Amino acid sequence: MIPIIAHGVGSRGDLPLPLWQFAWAAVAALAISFVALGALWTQPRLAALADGRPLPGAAALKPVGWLLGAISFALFVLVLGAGLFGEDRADQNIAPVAVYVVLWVGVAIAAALVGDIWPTISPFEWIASGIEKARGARAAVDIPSWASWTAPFMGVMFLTLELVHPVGESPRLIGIAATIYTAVMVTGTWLWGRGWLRSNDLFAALFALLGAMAPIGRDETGSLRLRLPLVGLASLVMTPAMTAVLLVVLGGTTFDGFSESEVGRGLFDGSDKWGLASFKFVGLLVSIVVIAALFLIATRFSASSTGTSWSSAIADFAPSLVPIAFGYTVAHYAQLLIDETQTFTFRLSDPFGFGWDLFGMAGNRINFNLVSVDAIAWLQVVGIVLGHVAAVVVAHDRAIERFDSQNATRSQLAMLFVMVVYSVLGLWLLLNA
Amino acid sequence: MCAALALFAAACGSSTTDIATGTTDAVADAGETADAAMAVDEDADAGETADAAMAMDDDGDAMAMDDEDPDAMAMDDDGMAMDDDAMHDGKHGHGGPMEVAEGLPTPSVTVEATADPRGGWIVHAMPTNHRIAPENASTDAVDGEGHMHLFVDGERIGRIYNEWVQVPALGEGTHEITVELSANNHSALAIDGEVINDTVTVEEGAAEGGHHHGDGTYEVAADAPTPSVSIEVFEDPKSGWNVHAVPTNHELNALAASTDAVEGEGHMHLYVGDTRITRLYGEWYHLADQTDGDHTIRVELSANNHLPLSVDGAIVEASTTITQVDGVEAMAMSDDDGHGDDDGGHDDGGHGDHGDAEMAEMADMSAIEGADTVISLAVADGAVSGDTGRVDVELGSTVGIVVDADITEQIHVHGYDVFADVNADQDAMFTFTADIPGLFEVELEGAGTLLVELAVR
Repeated sequence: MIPIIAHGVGSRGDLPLPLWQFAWAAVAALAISFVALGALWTQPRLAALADGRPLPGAAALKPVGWLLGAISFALFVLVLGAGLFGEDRADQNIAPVAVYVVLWVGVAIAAALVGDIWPTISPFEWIASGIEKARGARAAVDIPSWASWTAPFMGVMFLTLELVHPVGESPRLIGIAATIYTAVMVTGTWLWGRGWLRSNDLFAALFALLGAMAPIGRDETGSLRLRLPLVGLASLVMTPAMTAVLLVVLGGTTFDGFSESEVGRGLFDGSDKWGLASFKFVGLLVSIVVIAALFLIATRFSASSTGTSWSSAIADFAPSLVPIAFGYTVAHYAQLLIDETQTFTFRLSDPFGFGWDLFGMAGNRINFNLVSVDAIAWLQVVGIVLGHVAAVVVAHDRAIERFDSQNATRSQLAMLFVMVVYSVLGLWLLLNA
Repeated sequence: MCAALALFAAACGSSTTDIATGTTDAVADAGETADAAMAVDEDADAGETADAAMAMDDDGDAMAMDDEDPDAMAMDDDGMAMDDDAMHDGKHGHGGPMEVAEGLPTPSVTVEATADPRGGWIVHAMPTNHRIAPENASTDAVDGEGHMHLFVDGERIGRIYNEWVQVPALGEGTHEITVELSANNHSALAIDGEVINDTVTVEEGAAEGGHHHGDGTYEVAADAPTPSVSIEVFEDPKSGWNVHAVPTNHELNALAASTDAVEGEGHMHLYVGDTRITRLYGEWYHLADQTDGDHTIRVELSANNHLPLSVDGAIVEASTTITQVDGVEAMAMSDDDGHGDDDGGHDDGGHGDHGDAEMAEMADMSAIEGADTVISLAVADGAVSGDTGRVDVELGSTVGIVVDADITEQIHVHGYDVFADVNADQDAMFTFTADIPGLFEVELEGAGTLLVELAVR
């Protein structure tokens, strides 16, 4: 018998949202959108606030950062080792929960709420430092354009492993995937330097985007700055690959929510594992394409109504997707994060699944009552609605910064429509129906 | 009998940490006497006194439950160490408790229960003036010796030969664990018509879901005395088998179970085939009748943390083979060890004869029917039918699940981590209390096929 838990990491799913909660949230999202059109400020404000002020006590954080980096690098080695050499059981090995929960959800939410800590804790940064030492100083190199799309490509690969692969929660598979990923990062860094790494490491790219809405950010010199939440998005310069990362993640979360709904369950049903996986892969791609198409069509309308180029409209409005992506992540993964972070701490006592009990916690059980299911339901709704509000605000500010007020309103209409669609879709997925 | 199901249903019971001690009064009230008398009542009500075949605790241990069949009194001398002095006349265990002869030292028993950190209870039964004589079980009564019987909530669980016994998690709430003194012939001992027993009341907290055993072993330090174990199994003259496992250089320490490993101490694990039957805190164990055919009975030494001891990488174990004739029918039962268990015909204990097995099955069925939510499913040719989809369950209510399958599989209730085996011959039938809110998958663990989703709120 295959000793692997079949449906990914996490033993508990989210309860379906009650219909009334869905209805209130959807109405709130709609109402806020229309109010925003007329009532929000008429002068751009966020960009002026984006600088913030120096973070008090930033100097004292330096050793803390170094310590976090060291811990993170040790965890990276541990998880890689556990994946490659530990028991190949998702319910005993630390790798699945470390990658799918702590890294993918935990660090993402921390980045958005506090600040992008990835440059501090990224093991690839340590490796890059090693590579720079080994190679010595060198002139800047041209990065071939295909190599600049590594992050969104890796995003699709990550989501395929997590959501599509028949045994995507297999520690061995995760270990192999992490090895390949590390090899790609090392090769890219060797060829094109640390600049390539920072925008082409999937995690660096995603967490940097989410970190742009956080109250703590970095200026050009790398010093920490304290600012209001969201304002950092006003100074975010989007490349097409960054926009693609956002759309891929949004599409992936949508697919995850859909495939766990009753409709999705009925659709993705079958005993032929690989046939099912192929079908799911198509489903994942379709989700990403639909989410992306909505955004691209809306920006196309914006561009034509204001006479600007499509590509600049995409770059202008993509930052407003960040709070929506954050809202989706909170709504879909908050409960998983709360439950399975506990699992992660227990697994630290026996990371390889060899029966150790290093810290005496190997036998501990998840406390499922840490946060009530009602609280989770509200967190889901509030996450989506606040994400929506933040997106509308950011898009509004960006529009009046770019255009005169008449054009700004016109440019916003299509974006607003798409955001309402995203938010209602996100809420509908929470109905889990 | 439903209690047996409740036992495994509450596979994940958390436990309070206090030590509950029973009254030291060794004489029970009249009501208990009646119960006890019923328990040894033979023919007509044998089915009722029979406990369901098997219960699970959260440690992955199957606890075999049995019932003596008072009719099968045929003596069997092969391998039984008979004590010549013990051959008394006359006193067969028919019809009720047996008076302790006047002039003898008064026997008594005291029972204590300590919560096992991993759920369930470590029961300590302390008889006085009553020698435990497993070698003479199911023979004629002899003054001053015999064994003990264990009851939970008035239902008989089985014989006990050791002072320390593992009792699986019983489910949230108050439970009574009773130990009575028994003569060799299984008659309860009584003084002035009152059965000699003691009861401890335990309070079990909310279930928290089961857990998985870690794999691996506990390697004995090179400079420590090398532990070893021997095993002998004797056919009980009446029903089942008497297992005698003797460890050396390995102190049995019941109260340290589920704590950190300590060199030179721990307990033992008893297996029939690949199925873990129980922890052993003493040298003797009464194993219920098995299915017909050969069975390997294996004992392994275990550290306090439940990892098997190993010396130079080899697990310290001993095994022997028994041949069961006239055993019980194969029956699928819950298996909470979290490891794939792919043998079809389960050695799940059971008792008596076919009729009793059927009674046990009917009991399972009645427990299922008594559940607040009953989910009935069938798996045929890889397709699931019945109460599929999403089922709403009220928080705190009981759920009964019946699965009829044409394959050998393991059913897993996620979150609760309740496991149950199913095969073509035997449906899986189990109940549990839905005390964790959320959405939980129930699936075939091997194939990963979703059977049903439980929306507990």
